[in-house]
Formats: sequence, structure tokens, C-alpha cells
Amino acid sequence: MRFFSATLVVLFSLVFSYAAGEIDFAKDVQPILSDNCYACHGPDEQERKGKLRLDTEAGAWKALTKGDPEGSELIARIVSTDPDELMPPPKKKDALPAAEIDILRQWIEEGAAWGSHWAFEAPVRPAVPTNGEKDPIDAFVKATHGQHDLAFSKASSEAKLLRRVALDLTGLPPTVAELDAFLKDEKEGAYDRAVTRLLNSKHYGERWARWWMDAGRYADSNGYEKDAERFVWPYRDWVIDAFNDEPQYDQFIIRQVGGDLLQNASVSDRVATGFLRNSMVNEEGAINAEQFRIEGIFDRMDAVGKSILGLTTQCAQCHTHKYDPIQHEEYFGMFAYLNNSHEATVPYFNKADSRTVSQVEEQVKAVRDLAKVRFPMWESSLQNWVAAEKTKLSAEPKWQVVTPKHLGDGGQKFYAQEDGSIMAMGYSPSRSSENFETEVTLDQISSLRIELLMDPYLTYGGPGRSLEGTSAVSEFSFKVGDESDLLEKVAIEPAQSDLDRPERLIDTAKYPDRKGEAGKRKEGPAAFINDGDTKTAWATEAGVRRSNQPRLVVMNLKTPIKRKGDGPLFVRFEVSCQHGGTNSDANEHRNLGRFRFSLSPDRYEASKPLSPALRSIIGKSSGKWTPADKKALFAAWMETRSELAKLNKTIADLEAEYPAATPQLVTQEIEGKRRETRLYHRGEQMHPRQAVEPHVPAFLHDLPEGGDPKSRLTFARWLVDRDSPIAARTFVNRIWQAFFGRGIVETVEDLGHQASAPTHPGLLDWLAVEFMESGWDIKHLHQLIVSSRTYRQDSALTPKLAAQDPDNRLLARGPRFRPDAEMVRDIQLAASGILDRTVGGESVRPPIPRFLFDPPASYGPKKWNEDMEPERRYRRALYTFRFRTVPPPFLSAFDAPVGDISCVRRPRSTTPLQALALLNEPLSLESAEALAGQIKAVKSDLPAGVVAAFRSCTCREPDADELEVLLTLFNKEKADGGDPWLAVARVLLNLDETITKS
Amino acid sequence: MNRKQGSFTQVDGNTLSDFSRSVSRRWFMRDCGMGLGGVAMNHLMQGDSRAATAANLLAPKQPPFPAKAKRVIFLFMGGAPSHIDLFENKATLAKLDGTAPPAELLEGYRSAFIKPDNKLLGPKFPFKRYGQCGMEMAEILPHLGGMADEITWIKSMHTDAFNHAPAQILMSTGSQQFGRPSLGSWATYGLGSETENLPAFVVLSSGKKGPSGGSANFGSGFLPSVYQGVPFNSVGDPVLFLSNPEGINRKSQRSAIDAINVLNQKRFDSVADPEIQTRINSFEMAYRMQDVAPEVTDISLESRETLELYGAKPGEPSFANNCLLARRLVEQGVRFVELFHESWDQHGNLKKGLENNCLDTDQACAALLKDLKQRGLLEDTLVVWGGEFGRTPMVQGGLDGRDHHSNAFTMWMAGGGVKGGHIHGATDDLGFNATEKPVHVHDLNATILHLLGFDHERLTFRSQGRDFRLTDVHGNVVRDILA
Repeated sequence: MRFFSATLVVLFSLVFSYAAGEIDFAKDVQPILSDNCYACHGPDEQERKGKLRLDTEAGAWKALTKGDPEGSELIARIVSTDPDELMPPPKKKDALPAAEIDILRQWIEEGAAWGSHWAFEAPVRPAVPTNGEKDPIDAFVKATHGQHDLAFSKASSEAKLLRRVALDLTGLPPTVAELDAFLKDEKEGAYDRAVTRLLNSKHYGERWARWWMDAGRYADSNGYEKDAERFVWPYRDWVIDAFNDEPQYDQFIIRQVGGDLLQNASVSDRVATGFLRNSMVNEEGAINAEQFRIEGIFDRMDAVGKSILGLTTQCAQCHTHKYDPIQHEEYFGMFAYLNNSHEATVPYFNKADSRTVSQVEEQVKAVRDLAKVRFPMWESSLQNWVAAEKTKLSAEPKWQVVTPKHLGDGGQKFYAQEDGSIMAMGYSPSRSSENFETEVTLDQISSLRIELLMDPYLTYGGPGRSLEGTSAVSEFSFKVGDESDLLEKVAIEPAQSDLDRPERLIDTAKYPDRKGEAGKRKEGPAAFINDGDTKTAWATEAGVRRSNQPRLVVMNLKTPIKRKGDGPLFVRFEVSCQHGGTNSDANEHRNLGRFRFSLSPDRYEASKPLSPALRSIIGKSSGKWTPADKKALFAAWMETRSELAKLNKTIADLEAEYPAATPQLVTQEIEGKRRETRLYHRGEQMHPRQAVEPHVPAFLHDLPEGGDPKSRLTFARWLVDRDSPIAARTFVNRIWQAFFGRGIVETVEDLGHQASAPTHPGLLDWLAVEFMESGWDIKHLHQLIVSSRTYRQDSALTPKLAAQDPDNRLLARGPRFRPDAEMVRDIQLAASGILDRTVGGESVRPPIPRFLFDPPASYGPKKWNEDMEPERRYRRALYTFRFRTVPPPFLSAFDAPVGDISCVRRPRSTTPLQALALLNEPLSLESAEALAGQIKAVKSDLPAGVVAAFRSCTCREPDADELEVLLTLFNKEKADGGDPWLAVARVLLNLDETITKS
Repeated sequence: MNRKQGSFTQVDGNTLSDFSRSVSRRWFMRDCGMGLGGVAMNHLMQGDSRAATAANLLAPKQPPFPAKAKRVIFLFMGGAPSHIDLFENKATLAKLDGTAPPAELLEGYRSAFIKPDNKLLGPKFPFKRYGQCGMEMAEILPHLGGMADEITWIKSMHTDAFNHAPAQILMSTGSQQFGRPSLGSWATYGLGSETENLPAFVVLSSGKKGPSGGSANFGSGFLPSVYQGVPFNSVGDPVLFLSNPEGINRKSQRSAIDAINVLNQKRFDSVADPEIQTRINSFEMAYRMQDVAPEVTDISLESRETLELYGAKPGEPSFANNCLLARRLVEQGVRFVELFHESWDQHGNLKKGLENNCLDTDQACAALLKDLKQRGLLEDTLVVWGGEFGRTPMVQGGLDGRDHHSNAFTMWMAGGGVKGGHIHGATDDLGFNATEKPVHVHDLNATILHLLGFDHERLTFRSQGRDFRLTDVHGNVVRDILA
């Protein structure tokens, strides 16, 4: 069906006729060999047919005879009339066109000079053509014009140019005031000043953040069936800030791929690694967590390949790349860098909240310092307290860790860990009852212990599974029997825990009640865990500052159980959580995360147990205490002193002011032993083969010196190393696409052998080198582009241009195309004056038809509490909350990607569904109403009002005919009894010109 | 994108803009001061291939090979129906009910929730033989039974995934990786659309939930986005944003679109960008869709007999309504209609759940076939029924549930070039493995494309440096089932 692909996209093919000696291997020959031969005669050894490879010079000589095309096997086979001999095999591919055969013939005739693929050689700054153009971009573009009898178009009108550059740099059209100021500025350099203003605008970061988020496959939900909300807008804000404040591309990438490994990594550096974590997460009930963790890394490899390397790396997931020299093992070498990390979550505070946090911390410290003053003997008192706690600990029962064999049956998946604990992963229902069974050989059971442990997989490290890293146990019971199917419930004394908070009602905002539960569900002290009432729970929430630490619960049996005879005792731990909400697909869960059961023949005699955190400090010799340990001990001691009750109260009050954090998904390196990476045969996880150490493909540049060659940070630095032949070209090319609608290499995701030929190879290399030498300065690159004559041309087509270069590949006119979906929305909001220009913050929920979020449109019901306040409703489209399985329909209609996979080249369609959205969608209408209000406001002079609104939409005044059309419409609508202002406003916002960058 | 076969399409800028200028002048003379009327922009589109990109992408195309099916209705039974209880009358399984499955079957077997050695569970319903073909089905499928001789029964389906979303995506796109075009979008890419007033690929949903795979089930992946499935709502606006906003009547809408198009045309006159013509055309199509879609989707216009045949009740969303709607849509030239009915995930409540699901779907499925047949549409409309995988012969929970099972399941196809009353393939005595003539999802997709007139190895699209196809590097046409 090549026929279709050819008609789908009108391709620009130049009819070359080659003079002697003009054949260029890399440009003319290798693309033909790659496309037609490499699948079977390329880098992939397993697929190689007839032991012939044509991707290396040595290999190709087997099929070539220098200077003698007709004596070369290569030609003989592609012109053969025998279908068994003909290459490529007719079953697989169409025969080569005559023009391509001629190229191969001529190449062999001229000696079959070999070369390497242009993109795999480091770019060297080429000489700028001398043709009178001062600006290097223009000189390169003009040189190509010359080859095709084209010339630059006239310069765009100033107003249209301002609109174009404002949309390109900030994603917003200029306001009327900005337009007026620009038009009034008659001093030289007005345009440059406007560009500088736009580059420094806070909206610059927003526009380019959204652009990068395509590659970063950003979405606000996990994807797959459950598609629960996630809270990764801090990553989005990090990207905005990076573009605004630190636009150095190499640092931008290093942080996103290895920020957590930088020295003294800040929270912001860790947030940046959310780039890797933007992969989807499958939380279906039946999943195997490891399977989908691996799927996530495949996705990261794809994203890194498309967006940073500009290579189709994922082609080497199942086998050695068919076209480019990426070995199957090398794919897993890169995979290994990404595979050695935890999928962690960090608390993120916005700037205001961060200030509150540090204020609280300072004030708490001041109170503690004051306590030292008020209690001068604190040091000896603390020592005594530690000594007493040590004594108590030594008298505790000897616990035997019990790892159940039967790991739950209530819908969650549990995985036994090396330390005997159990880890819950995957689906986490809002209510659960789980049983854990095994057999033990203790002679007697007098007490039991449940430890809640920390794990990087859990939010903020845990110990629970909720969005705050907490959990609630509504009821725990313990059953024992001499036979596995004859278990009886054991009477237990009230439980004790290091966390023993007062009784309170459940927070139904987070965990909604089922019918009949209102006011009945409570949580609080440890005794709630085994009071026989599932309406009461022991919950680990202890304020933002104290919730995320290990906990333990101990219980004594009312009567010890003794083992009879030689057989084991069969035991069952039953854990019920009825303190979640009602929607299992919307994070309303609160199950245990990582936990461990122990039993003991002895009773636990002490009162409230010491917290696990303090246990580990006290367990160390005092010489090994860190400052943090000392602080923790002091804080704990302080709470034991009744003399300091007032100060303790002050601290508690201060802690209550602690703001809630946002759980940002991050990448966190595994410490200690590396996670092993194995090559997967055919890319299938069920078929692991040899272990693979982290390494990079040999055909590319070496790892940078100095770093640990196995570290993800070194890999990150390698990605954007000055020696990389592809990093700068890939980035520059994709930036070019954003401005002109098409990359210098159209396949922006692939600069390899299968890439389309660059239209301006010299320009691409010049820009790449200039970019790197500027310190990878993105703003510098943008400034270069928008300052060029090439960019500033008028975009109108002439018959000649329409005939000769309809897609504007040769850039003999300015860019004109409908911009990305988000810009369409932003133009509507901005032109009508209702746009809220706040930068950053949590995602918002503008109006979207409710039924889309409910079954049977959505798998499960999703929260969509429509934002009514203008400051949320009318935010820029990049802030619209995006569920992967229910993407915002307005944006989807205009080709916005869902975020399932990395996207570096959006399709651009024009459809009737877009027209319906522009005409009828609620925000489109609200924009029109606002614009109508503006027209109406110019009471005395209707035409003036219409002209102003027209200008607000298009940056120009309507001509007489256009104005007449609008006024005629106004009068007709008025006569028909409609809203004539609204009618005119709707038309203006729907104009092709309004939603086009031209 | 094909470097070699690039072609030049010429735009005769002068002719086009002269012509359109004259049209807009006419519009001024006629309408300014004399009232506005519809502008017949359609004529402008003709004879210019670049102007109407979206329209061109969707223009009807002839497939390269003779096609038996011109359109497809895919009844996607999300959640995965139990082949064991509905289609597999296995005396051995009934006999071994309550015993452990043979160990050799379980070697290397991966189950979703249950322990693989959970006990076997016999079928929940008595079976009956239906039609000349003697297809055995549970007696809770009486209506479908009546159509048994119209249908090819594929009892040897198997797939690679046993989690819902990945398995649905595999069924819909030929890959477990997200981001690939769906079957419906490949079909419309290959064949274009027979209607300008409706989307080429329409998606309907009923049941307790939406499809696990979400919109990725009907996405266009790297194909142009005009080929993506458009979800229709079964109540209210059938198409999103189809109705005029409150306070805007039909006349105002027409006036607005006329003014938009005249101004767009004027813009075209000065900048000559053919995309503007596409934009003009899109507004005209939108207006026509506003006109046509409510009527097409209004099943209350059907006769009482037809409504009763399906068990459809206007205004009460159901699978039956969607089946009837599907027939109305294909009559109008919609190329691919996909119905999701996500209700079949019977981990528990197997008996009651299946009974209810059959009550909800059996009659309507049969009615759809009957109705298509009596209208002469069945012979070139392919109807496909099935879920993303099957269910275990082993029990889940107490005695009334089955787990996910990818080794074997049943699907059926009817009309559009497949045999009637044909039973293809078989499973072993327990319904555990597809043992005779196994059909992989890739084979099914290859066969559907074949019926539509394509060689599945040649219907390709260049993305990321290689020619992608629906079946990746797999798939064999199941010739046995071709009529």
C-alpha cells in the first residue's frame, strides 16, 4: 500500500539528474540501500540472509565490482527478471525504481566510494555560503533557493510578524496594547526589542514546556484500565522554570535523566527526574508488578530515543536494529542505566508552601533551643532516658519473623521480601480484606507484632499505600489451629503501638463514606486495630511531618497458644481495611504497604513501644549518632518531660501549620547492589538471556571521562555530551519544526539511516554547532531563528510557490499553519480577554461533558469537578488536567497527543469535529461571549467595536469588505432576534486567520 | 512517508482563486442586503486535490484486491466472555469438575489471580445444538443460536496478554504497546469513507464500564488523526459539541458559518493557502453533520417491529440500541463501527453475570445479523464478535468465577465474505488450549484486512523509519473460513 502513503502526504521530491562525480554515498546511495536492503542485509545478524551485509564497506564489497556496475552482483540482483533472484524479494518490497538503480549504477561506475551516515559523524561548523545574506541561516536558505530558482518573499507586515513571533515564543497572541506599543516603536531595533521581551516573558517557559511535554509524554493520570490521577504538575512547573530561568539544554537533560544523582541534589533536581516517571502505570488487579515496571522502562527507552537521541532505539528492543548499527545487547546496555532505580515519590511544596515549611522548621528549632534553656540539665536527663529505654528494649520478647506462604486473596498482589516482610504492589482497592496464612513450629505463641516498614516504592517512602504514604487497619484478627482448615480466632488484648493518637472522625473528603456510613467511621488509637469493630481503625496519619516513618503494633494473646504434638501450628493473619473511600480507581485507598508479622513465645510486658526510628538510633552506640539522630532523640525526650508540656504544645501547634505536600513521582537510584539487567530474547520478558552491564552503543561517542561508567548520571551526561553527533542536531531539528512546521530533517524522531534527507544539511550542522558553542543555550537558538529573514518573510503563497514548493520545504515564504491544540485554546481565551495568566500550579478542570468521565464512556467513574472560578476555568491549556484514557476532547480534536507514548511530531489535521468544537464547545462559547461583551462595550460606535475585536483576534484591521460582512451579519442577527454581538464574536474567533500562525 | 514515491500535486492557484473570488463576489451581491443563504462551497473543492486534505484522506478508495466486505461492525465484548460456559460443551471438564487440572497443562502457565492448580469448574449452563452446523452453545444464547448458520465460529482463538488493557490494545491495534493505529483506523486509512456527513469510524459503548484500554482502542496512532474512532454518545448529543449552544438557533448557526466561510475565502484570496479551503470545507461538513447526525442516530424513527427485533428502547442507553444504531450508521456509509460492551469480567458471580450479559446482548446480536441480512447489507458487512481473551477452566473464588485465560477463547464473524455455519478450530477436552487450527489475534486481523481487500503485509504506513502494519511481522489469513 505504498500508493496510499505516497498520496497521503504530498512529498517533495527533487528530480535530480546527476553529473559525473556528483554521487554522494551518504546522501544518495545509503538511503536506497537502507530502505531496500538493510532489513535482511543490515546490522541484525539473526535476520541476515546469505551472509551478505550491505551496511558496512567490507560487507558490501562482496556484491560490488569496482567500476563495473553490470559485473556487480548488487545490480544483477536488483534488475533480475527471475523472481527468485530479484532483490528486494517481490513478496516483501516493490522493485527499485529506475532512477534509484541508475544512482547505484553510477555510484559503482565512479568507484563505489563508501562513507558513513552523516548524522553519525560529529557535526562540524560548515562554511556559510557567501551570497550577500549576512545572517547565516538566511545564507544557507538562499543557497538552496538558488538551486531551485526561488527567492525570499517580501517581509511580513510588522503586525503579523509580531503575532507570529509572540505565538512562537510564548504561545499567546500579542495583546492589543503590546501590538500598539510595537507599532508605535519606530526606533531601529523595535523587533529585536520585542523578541527580547518575549524571550524574557514568563509565558515563554509555558509555551516551550508544553512543547517538551509532548516528548515527555506528560499526563495527569496513570493510564491503562484504572487510569488513576497522579500528581506530577511539579514536574511540569519544573520544565516551565527551566525554560524561563536556565535554558541550557545539556543541563536540562542531565537533570531529567540523572538529577537525583547530582551532588547535593535538591528537591527540584529530583522533581526533574519525573521525566523518566511519566510512563504509564498499570494497576489492573491481575498484573504482575515487575512485568509493568519493565514495560515502563521500555517506554523510557522509547522516549529517550525519540526525544534526545533522535534514534528509533525501540527498534532494537526485540532484535538488533534493522537499519542502524544498534546491537540488541546495546539496547539493553542503555536499558541497564535506567533499570537500577526505584519508582519513588517525593513531597513537593510550591514556593509559598516551601517558605512555610522552612519557617515552621526554624520555629520548631527555636522552641527546642528554648527547651534547652528552660531545662538546663537536659543532657543528663536525656542520657538517663536513653539508658532506661535501652533496658526496656532488652527485656522485650524475642520475636520470630513469620513470612506467610499464602499471601492474600482480597484483590491485592503481595510479594515476599528478603527480610521476611510483605510488599503490596499494583491494584489497591478502596476497601480490602486480606488473609495471610502459613505454618509455624513455635512451641508457644504469647504475643504478636506487626511492623510497618518503609519502602521507596511507597509514597514518601510509606509505610502505607495511600497518596500520603499512610494506611489504616480497621480490624486485625489472628487465627490458629492444628489443622490448616480448622482455624479458630484467638482472643487478643488491646493492641499497643508507638503511634497512639486520639480518636477522630475519618476524613471523608479523602475517603468518602458508603451509604449508611456517615459519621460512623472513626480512627485513632492502637486499640482500634483489634476492638472487633471495622468502623474503627488504627491509622498512621500523624500530621505531614510525622506520618512517614516506620511503625509497629504489638499485641498479647489473652491465653498463650501451645503447640500439640509434632505437627506445626497453622496461623492466619487477617487484615481488613474499611477506611478507604468508595472508588478503587481514584486513589481512595489506604492499604498496608510493606509490613512484617512476627510471633513470640513471650509476652510483651512494657507499655507503649518505642518507635522503630528511635529503636534504631538507640541501638547504635552514642558515638555513631548523626546530628539528625541527636535531634530525633532530643525531640523524643522532650515529649516525655511534663515540665516542657507548654513548649511541646507549641511545637504541636506549629506542626499543624505544616502545608500538605504534592506527591511527585521521581526516579531514585538503588543503593548498594545493582538490579541485574538481562537481555530479553525477542524483547520478551519471559525469555531473559545473558546479564548485561550498562553501556552505550559503540557506533556513537564514548562515555564522558571521570564519571562512574555505570551511573545513570554518566549516561545522562553522555546523552548531551559535546562529542555527541546526534544530540544537538536532534534538538535543533525539532526546534526548527516548531517554528516552520517541518524539521530540516522531516523525521525529527529519527536521524538514522531511514531518516528523510535534510533539506538544508549545512544549516542543520551550522545550527547544531552554534547551539553547542553557545552553551546549549535554547533562548540563543530561538533568537537566531526568529531574527532571520527566513523567519520574517510573508507567508502568502504565489502560484509559483504553490506549484513548486507547496509544503514550504525550501522556505521561500514564511511559515503559515494552524498551531498546536493548546495554542488554539489559548488564542481564544487571550483574544477574548478572559485568559488567566497565572503561571504554574496544580492542573485545572475546565468544562468537559460529564458523561465522558463515567461508564460506559470511561472504564470507571472519574472525578471531574468542573472549575467555575475564572482563575481556574480560564487557565492556559497546558494546565488542563489530562486523563490518559479520557483526554480533553477539545484538545484531542486539534491533534494533541494523549501522552501514552512520547510524541515528537504531532499530526496536523483539519476536520469537521474541530469546526464543531470551535463553534459549540462551552469555553469556545464563553470566549465568544466575552468578546461580544467587548464589542458591546464600545457603545457609541459599533464598527469601532467590531474593528477592535477583529484586531484582537488577528492583529490587523478588517478591510472594508470584511467589515461589511460582519456588519451585515450583525444587522441580520439583530433583525432575527438573536444576539448580534455574540454572532460577530463567534465568527471572529472561528476565523481561519484567528487560529492560524501566519 | 516514502522518499521514493513522492509526487507533485499541482495547485492551479490562479484558476482557483479567480473562481473563488467570483463566487464570493456573487455572495456579496446576492446576500449583503438581500439576506444570507448557504454558500455552496462544495463546488470549490472539486478538481483540486490539495485543497481539501481531510476530505481527500477520507475519500473512498478501492482496495487493491477484490473485497468481500465493505464495512465492519466490531462487537467488542470487553472484560472477556467465558468461552467455557458459552461455547465449549466439554464432557470431560464437566466430569472433572472439582478436581485439580492435569499438571502437564500448567507447565509454564501464567495466571492472573488464581493459583494455576485451582480446581476445574464445569460449564454453568446446559448446551444445545443450533442450526444445520450443529454449533453447540449454552442455552442462554437462544437468539444467536437461531443465527448459527450465518456465522463462522472460531473456537481456537488465542492471544499473548492476560491483563485487560494490554490484551484489548493487542486485539485493537495488533500490539500491546500503546500508540499504534487501531484496526478501525487502518480500515478507514485503506478504504476512506462513504460518507461526508458522519465520521468514518464511530465508537459506541454500553455496559457497566468503559473499555479497559480506553481511547487507545480506537486511536489512530501514527496515522493521520482523521482516521481515529469518534465516540458517539448514546444519549444527548451523539457527537460531542454537535448541538448549537443554548440561544443559538439553526439560522444563526448558518449565518455564522456563512460569514466565517466568506471571510475565510477572502483570506484565501490574499494568502492562497489551500489549507484555508480545507478549513472552509470542514465548517460545511460540520454544518451538514449537525443536520444529519441527530436524525441518523435517532432510533425512535425505526419501526416498532425493528425496535422489538433488537429489544431497543429509545432513550434508554443499551447494547441493543447501539446495535441498531450501528446498522443505521453503516447504512449511511460509515466504514467501521465498533461497539464496546464491557461487562464480561466474571471473576465471581459467573452464572448470574453471564445470564445478565446474555439477556443484554444475545437478542441484539442476532437481530443485527437478521436486520442486516434482510436489508441486503450482511453480504458485504463484516460483523465480528469477541473479547480480549478467554477464561480459565479452573475456578476462581468459591464456585462461581473464572480467571483470565489467554490460551483459548471463542470469537465469531458473520457476513462480509466469511462462511455461514462454519466451525473453525477446537480446543482440548478442557477448553484450556487451542489445539486445532489455532487462530492468533494477528491471524484474525490479517483475515479481516483480507476480507476488506488488503494484503495485511502490504497495508503499511511509514513511521519512525520503518513501514508499520497492523499485524507487525505476524499474521496469516485464515483461509478456511473464507466463503
